[in-house]
Amino acid sequence: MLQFKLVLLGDSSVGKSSIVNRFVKDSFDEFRESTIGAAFLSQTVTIKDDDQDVTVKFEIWDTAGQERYKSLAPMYYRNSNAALVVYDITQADSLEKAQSWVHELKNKVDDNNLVIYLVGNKVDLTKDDEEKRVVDRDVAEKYAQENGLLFNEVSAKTGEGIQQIFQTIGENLYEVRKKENTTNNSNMANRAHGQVDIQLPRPSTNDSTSCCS
Amino acid sequence: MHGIKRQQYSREILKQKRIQDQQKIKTYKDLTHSALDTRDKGIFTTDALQLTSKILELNPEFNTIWNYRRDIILTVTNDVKPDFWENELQFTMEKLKRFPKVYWIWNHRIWVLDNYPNATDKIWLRELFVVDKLLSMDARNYHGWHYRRLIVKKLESINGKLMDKEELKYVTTIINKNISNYSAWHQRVQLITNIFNKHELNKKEMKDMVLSEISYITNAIYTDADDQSVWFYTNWFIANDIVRLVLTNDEYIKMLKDIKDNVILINNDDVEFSGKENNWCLKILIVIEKTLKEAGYELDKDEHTEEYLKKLIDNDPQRRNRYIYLSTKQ
Amino acid sequence: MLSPERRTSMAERRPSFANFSGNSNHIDTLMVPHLAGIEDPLPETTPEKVDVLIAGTGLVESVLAAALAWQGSNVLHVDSNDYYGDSAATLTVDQIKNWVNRIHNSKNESEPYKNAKLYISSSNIGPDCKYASRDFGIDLSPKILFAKSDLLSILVKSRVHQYLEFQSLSTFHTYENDSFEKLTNTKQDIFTDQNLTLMTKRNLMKFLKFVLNWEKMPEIWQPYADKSITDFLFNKFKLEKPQVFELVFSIGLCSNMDTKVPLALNRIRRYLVSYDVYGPFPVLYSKYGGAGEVSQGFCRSAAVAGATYKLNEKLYSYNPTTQVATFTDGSKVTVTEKIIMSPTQAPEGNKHVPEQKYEVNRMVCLVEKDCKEWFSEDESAAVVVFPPGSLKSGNKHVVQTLIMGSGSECCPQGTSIWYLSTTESGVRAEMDLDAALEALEISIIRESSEEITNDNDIVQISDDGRPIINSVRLGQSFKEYVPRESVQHLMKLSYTQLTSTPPFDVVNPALFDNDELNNRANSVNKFIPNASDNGIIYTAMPSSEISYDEVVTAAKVLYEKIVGSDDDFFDVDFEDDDNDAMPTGASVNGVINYENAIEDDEEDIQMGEDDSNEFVGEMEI
Repeated sequence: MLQFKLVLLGDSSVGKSSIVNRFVKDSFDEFRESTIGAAFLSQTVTIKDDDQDVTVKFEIWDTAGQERYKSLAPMYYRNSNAALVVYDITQADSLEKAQSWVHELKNKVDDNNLVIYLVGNKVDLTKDDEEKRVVDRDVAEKYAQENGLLFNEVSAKTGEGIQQIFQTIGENLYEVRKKENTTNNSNMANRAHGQVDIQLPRPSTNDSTSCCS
Repeated sequence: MHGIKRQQYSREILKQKRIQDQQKIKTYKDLTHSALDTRDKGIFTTDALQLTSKILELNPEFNTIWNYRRDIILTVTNDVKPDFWENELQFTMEKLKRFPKVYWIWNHRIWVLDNYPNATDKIWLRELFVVDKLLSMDARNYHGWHYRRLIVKKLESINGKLMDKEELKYVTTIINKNISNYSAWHQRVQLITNIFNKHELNKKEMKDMVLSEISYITNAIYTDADDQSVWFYTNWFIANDIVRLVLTNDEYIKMLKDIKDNVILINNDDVEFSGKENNWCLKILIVIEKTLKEAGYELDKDEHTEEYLKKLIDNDPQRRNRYIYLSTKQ
Repeated sequence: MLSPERRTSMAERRPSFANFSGNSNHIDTLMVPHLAGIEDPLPETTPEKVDVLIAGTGLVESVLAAALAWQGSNVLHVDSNDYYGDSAATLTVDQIKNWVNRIHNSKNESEPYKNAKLYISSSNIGPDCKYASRDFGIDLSPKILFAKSDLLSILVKSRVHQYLEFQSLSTFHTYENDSFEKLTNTKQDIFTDQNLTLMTKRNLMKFLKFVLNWEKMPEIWQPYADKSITDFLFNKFKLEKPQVFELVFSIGLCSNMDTKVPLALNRIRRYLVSYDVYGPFPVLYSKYGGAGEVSQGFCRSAAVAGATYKLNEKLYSYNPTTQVATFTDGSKVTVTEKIIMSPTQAPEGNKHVPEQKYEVNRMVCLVEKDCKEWFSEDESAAVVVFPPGSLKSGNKHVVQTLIMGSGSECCPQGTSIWYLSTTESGVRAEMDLDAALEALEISIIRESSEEITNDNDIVQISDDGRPIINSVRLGQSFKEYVPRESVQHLMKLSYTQLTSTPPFDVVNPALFDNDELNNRANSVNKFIPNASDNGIIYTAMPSSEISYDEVVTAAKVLYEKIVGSDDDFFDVDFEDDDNDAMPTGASVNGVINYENAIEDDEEDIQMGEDDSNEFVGEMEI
């Protein structure tokens, strides 16, 4: 199983949380270890490589409101593999704001392989009343192309296009990882310093008496 | 539990657990009934094998079912897939990880190895590695040590070569890691005995070995004079025949007197530090005095056994009667 | 559990709580729904009214913010800086530059930092240079985390640990006679160490056993209760100087010879009980920066629980009568309960900041050396302690050093960060830090230089003209002959940090209990005309303590002051808390009757099974 960190960005009330909610809850299975409490959400998608099923697990970090006053911590961006930058197609300046988040992301994340997906949300509002749309699909799509972002318009309310976002991101990340594995095996060895991260909730089962207790 | 934690459960979880448990108990009872039933009917099929897997999953201490399982395996052995025996090892390993102290699992595992088709020494070498891993998880699991001895015996008979010296090295690293490992010290007794009895050591090798054991013991009693494992080993070592035969009587007496001096020093230091005598020291001193006399050494005025026993009667009331009995025998 | 006065907790206020509690009559433990923190649409504007305003995102403040937010308080958490962490921040080189400038230009009379000096090798760090400013994460308060400590439990309980990555640190060097000695601190080390005499082994073991339960043996330590720990170890335990210094300064991390017995015993025990909790090491550190990361983690946790965050926000004044806090950008908020503030965030015209009596002098060097020689295999950090009297400067206080290598992701490969600190003050502190720095430099050059480990390179000519070949590492005398390769400093920073917490002491609750500090200007209840900070409760600046040990205590004291009791401090249970942690067989074991299953074990198998099985019966006496 592959695991990736995905961060959400975009101004408040463009529907970041509802997109994730839709993605995570729609197929939420209470018997599966699919959530990690309030730390972040996780959900998996399955992608096909030839005939093999590959499970991709997303660890999804929500801004928890810290984006409101531009108060996101470096920790938020660190080691992210993918970002969902969300705007609201019914809000005039929300694409510009999304663009400034893209800029911020590129500044903060040092990874050339970072997958950024630009999402125009609330497409449901324009279904009956095209007047409500204030951001042109073409404009956003062109911007995305120029900047190498994935793009789509979705509706968190109806669920339209939501699963596809994560499916596509999963496939892209899988490709990147595959390339990395074939070309830079040596690089991987260099990167790992041999250090092991310690899992805090798991004290070792070593004999505690070795230290004179 | 050797410092290995048991989980503390919150009330809520316990309540949920209890409901689940009741279901489990029912399932377990049903399974047991049908398994014992098929056994009594003399049914030995792969289906029955599955049934035993389910039961053992729930209760690995059910030896009757393990026995039944072996009977089934022997009956269906020609019909099983090639990876059956490997899976059977895997099956016991899963159980051992969860229940490292259930003898029947170890027992079954060795049976599987014994019956493994076309086995070479590789399978036993691998097993030695496996038991090494298990002992590194809990170095004081006696079953693990017992099992290790069985594996080593197999390897020795296959390769026609004794492994006691390698095993002594192994046991030394384990004791170094934790001086209070009673099982490891116990294993040391067996290994040292084997080395002297079965190996062809020359005089010098034997003597070097005894001397190095003496310094190992001395180091250990200074490091931890409150540890029963260390004293257990000391007690065994000073009075055993090997040492008596390897050393000349004078050397033997000198060794006893040296250890005696060290023990007295340690005991005096304890008295100075805490005002209390060290009971282990007193007990071993009694053993040393007895051994010295047996070796023909006259203690005369230096004999303090009576005095040590008196102190023990006061300091160690739990075993008071035993000390009184011993002092009447003086 | 739910008393009427008690503010509803996070879990209760969440809409999904109702769904989960609907079908059960009584909730035993409050559960936090898995989507907590992202279900509510967040309010658009700056809150007009909050329960608690916290200024400064340092460690104590961040832990407090998270504790309050999860308890159900409405928290506004601000920081006048544009980064998280405040006095505990992890900064890039550029941010350090700005930080030093800020201190120099500070008009704050109670500014807790002074004497900041900075050197940056501009040919090495900067745009188009070998290293970028943000390749480095420099801690203003470097910290290590004991494996058995209150902060660690809270990290796990609050799940903040999931935002962080931890690595082990097992190497504690004691600098003595010009060399680094590694610790002998486990039973195994003592048993197998061939350099210790038998009696030293015995005494050391005796002490290690004693210290684990020292309170229960007053007869041993009480006579020394007012004496120094060094006195106690020399006289009562008859330990030799190397062991005493190791125990007091490296294991106990005490600041000087005079540390009192009970305090020092606690500090020594802290190390020992932490050893082997996660493996053969006593402490951990968080990757990418220490305290700065931890405080970011708690802030994020607080935000998930509904706290509002605003960086770049500085308090202008607070009016305790109207309860209105005004910020320098003109925005206002009504604070119904308390304002908690770090001294770094004090508004101009403040009159209540507690007196910062104690100095911690710090030096930070970015060095172009990987310092692998000092780390254990597979580790990337080490502690080096310079005991009193071990330095050329004749230091009276300890100099503690934390070395972080590139594996900690705080600096690029081939470099390391050296954090030095002392509780000594003034010029003496400078001399001690310089001397320690020099000792570190000499040592790393000696240990990392291959030429010098070759005997042939060190040849002395004796009086009669014959060359004498000397062995390596001869220490003092020979060092001077070896051409001095210098250590390349990429950055060197030194500063004095003031604090109201006494050195190497736990937090004194009285510091926060302003009412009890009669006649002190910082009494909350005493309003000073024209003061901009009437009614504000100040936190203490970080002390010289190298571990996180004061943090939770300090946060709890404040929490209790706001909530009324610390009973529900981080009393959070997450609803998806898996019961996977339970050994699967445990419950089965408990209820099933094994009557027909258990037969007699072989006799020798019983032996050794049970630890209480004494062999006295076998001992033929």
